[in-house]
Amino acid sequence: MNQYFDAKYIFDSIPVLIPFLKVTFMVTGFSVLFGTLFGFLLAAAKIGKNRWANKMAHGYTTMIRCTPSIVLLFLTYYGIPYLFNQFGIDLNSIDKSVFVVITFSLQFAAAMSEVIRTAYESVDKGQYEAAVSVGLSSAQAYRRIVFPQAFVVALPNFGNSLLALIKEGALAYTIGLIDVIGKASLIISSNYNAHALEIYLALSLIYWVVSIAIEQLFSKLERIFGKGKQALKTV
Amino acid sequence: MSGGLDWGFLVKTFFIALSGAPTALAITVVALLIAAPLGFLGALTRINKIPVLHRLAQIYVSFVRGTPIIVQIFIIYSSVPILLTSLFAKFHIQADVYKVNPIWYAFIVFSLYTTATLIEVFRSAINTVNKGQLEAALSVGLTTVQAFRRIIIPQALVVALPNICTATTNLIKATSLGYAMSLQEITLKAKVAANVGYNYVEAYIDIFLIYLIICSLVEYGFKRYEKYLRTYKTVNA
Amino acid sequence: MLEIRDVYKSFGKQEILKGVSLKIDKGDVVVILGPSGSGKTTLLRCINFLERSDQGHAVFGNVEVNLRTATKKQVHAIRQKIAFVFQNYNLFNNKTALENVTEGLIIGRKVPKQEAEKIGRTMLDKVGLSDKYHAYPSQLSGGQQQRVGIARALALNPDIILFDEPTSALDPELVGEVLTVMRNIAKEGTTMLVVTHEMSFARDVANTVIFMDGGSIVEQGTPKDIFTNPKEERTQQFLRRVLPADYSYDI
Repeated sequence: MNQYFDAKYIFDSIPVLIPFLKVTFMVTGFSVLFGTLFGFLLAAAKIGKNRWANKMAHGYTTMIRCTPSIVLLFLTYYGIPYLFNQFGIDLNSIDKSVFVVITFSLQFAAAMSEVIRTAYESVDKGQYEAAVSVGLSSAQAYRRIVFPQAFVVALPNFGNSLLALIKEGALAYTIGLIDVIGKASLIISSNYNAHALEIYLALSLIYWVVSIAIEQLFSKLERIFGKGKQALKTV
Repeated sequence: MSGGLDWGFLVKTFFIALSGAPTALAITVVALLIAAPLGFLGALTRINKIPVLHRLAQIYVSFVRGTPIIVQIFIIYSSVPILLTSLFAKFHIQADVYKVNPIWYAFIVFSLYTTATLIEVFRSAINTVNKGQLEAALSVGLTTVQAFRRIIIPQALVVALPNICTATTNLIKATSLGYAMSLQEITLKAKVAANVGYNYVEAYIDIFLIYLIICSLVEYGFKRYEKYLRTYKTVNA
Repeated sequence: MLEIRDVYKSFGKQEILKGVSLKIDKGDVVVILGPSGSGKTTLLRCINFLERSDQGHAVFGNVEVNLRTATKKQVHAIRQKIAFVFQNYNLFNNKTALENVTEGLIIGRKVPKQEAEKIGRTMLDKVGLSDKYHAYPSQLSGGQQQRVGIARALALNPDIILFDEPTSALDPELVGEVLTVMRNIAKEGTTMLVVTHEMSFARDVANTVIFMDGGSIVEQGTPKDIFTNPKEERTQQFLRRVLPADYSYDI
């Protein structure tokens, strides 16, 4: 094994890897979609008055928070087909990306439920009261006054959760998904493990750039949507 | 894999997996012990805008937080042997770098990772303490170091504690990636046990339970400590 | 015009309102005084359904509603006639001053946007904020925010405005500007029900002063009656505590 370092491999592998970001983004996109929907349900259960729903939602969040992504990933990857197998349904032909999306939707939902709950609770009750006192209906008060303010609060936390999701999603290669990391491992094994370091550095650069881009995007969004808030800084 | 769960295996493997817990916890403790002072110093360079150093700290935090930890593990795991080999060759040390216990790699990776997290945690915590506190401490004749140790840090710690708790549980969870370095921790031990009879479902249930127990205990401990600190803080306020 | 009968309200085991009744005629300025915890604020909130009473009725013009069982529709109808000014202003943080004033008109009452903005500007002019149409609440001082709050209430052209301690969150030097606005709108004949600790306002502006303590009305009458010749022991005690020693009621 020839173990010398050659930066050329970094720059050669980047263009090969980048197209596989598509898989990463697709998996992330679906997880965000389903995770946010489920997260709304969980947040509603946490905010609502039903004690059982409340306990279940909090219990769920604690459980997910305590489970490493890789463990959750394998639990769904092996566990779900196993469960269906008990009822005589064979899931072995299902695409791996489905299990990845399920795993990270479950995880993202737990994070989002907290993001949504704290955002909702950060809006003073007086805002709703003032809205109905000037004659808005309850639905109008939420839609026009409470939610827009909660949205601004949620935005940076949503961005952080999204970043965490993309990074945790890197583990999808362990069940054989060919995303950027999956492709990188393929390149490395086809090189007989030579120049692995260079490929990994290329990989880290790609992730770093993606993370910074998302961070920038969200701080821009914050500036755009933070109208009432933004003024605080100028005073 | 048809039929019910293999309960015997489930119970047996639980203890096999549990035997990996000390490794996971040792890594966690070592990483925290190394990262805490480094993180604090890093935070100070950021707060006081010390030239060069504060930029370096910023880039370091950005990189570690912007890349998946598994990629960081790969990088360390493949770069350290190369560095060591050349070092050993230079100084004519007779040692095989590929026989190093993987736990040393784990210490490096997770300390570096946790340092980045703690820089940010400490930075925001120190920033929340009112500037007047430092000024008041200096005005009654304390030195800057004394002011930090006796006035600023005790207050910042209370603010930082929930985030330190999150960092700790994240760290414990991240040790599950030690498998990539052939580290004999919880996940790898259970997986190896499952390889024999393909009892993956049972093995992962075991792993899941162990992390759940450990993290719940850690969170509970931190909550107790936070409560204790808060009373202490209000009594003194 | 507005009559409240027998309002009861408890929070858990704590009885806050123990059967309060009062009557307000058009153009009246009624001020409610009383120590904190006497139920003044809760009474106001019950009238506007921000809290549900355990028992009680409101008669508005010729419509009577049960304060406990009122339907959504009735609540909405009553709120259309009553405006509320909050202790901590509760301006919509995500809207400018002008948008705060027009929100209820455009969304709640379906007033065309242009017309609503015309009304909004008039009202902001009235409270002396002609130069703050497009400022967000966070750019305004407390006194300015509360004046927007009053403009927002006025814009709805309500039959009555409820004021819940409108100056108690303000720095002392900002109280004056808000009271001036309130005096002006009282002069114009606006019907007002005001909970406040501002004795001078009660003395100079109110036609009726109500003294509440422990969840019920202890005494009510003209400012002159209450301030110079309070009948009840509890009222006398309260006034001795809140009024300076040399305070006298001049007319």
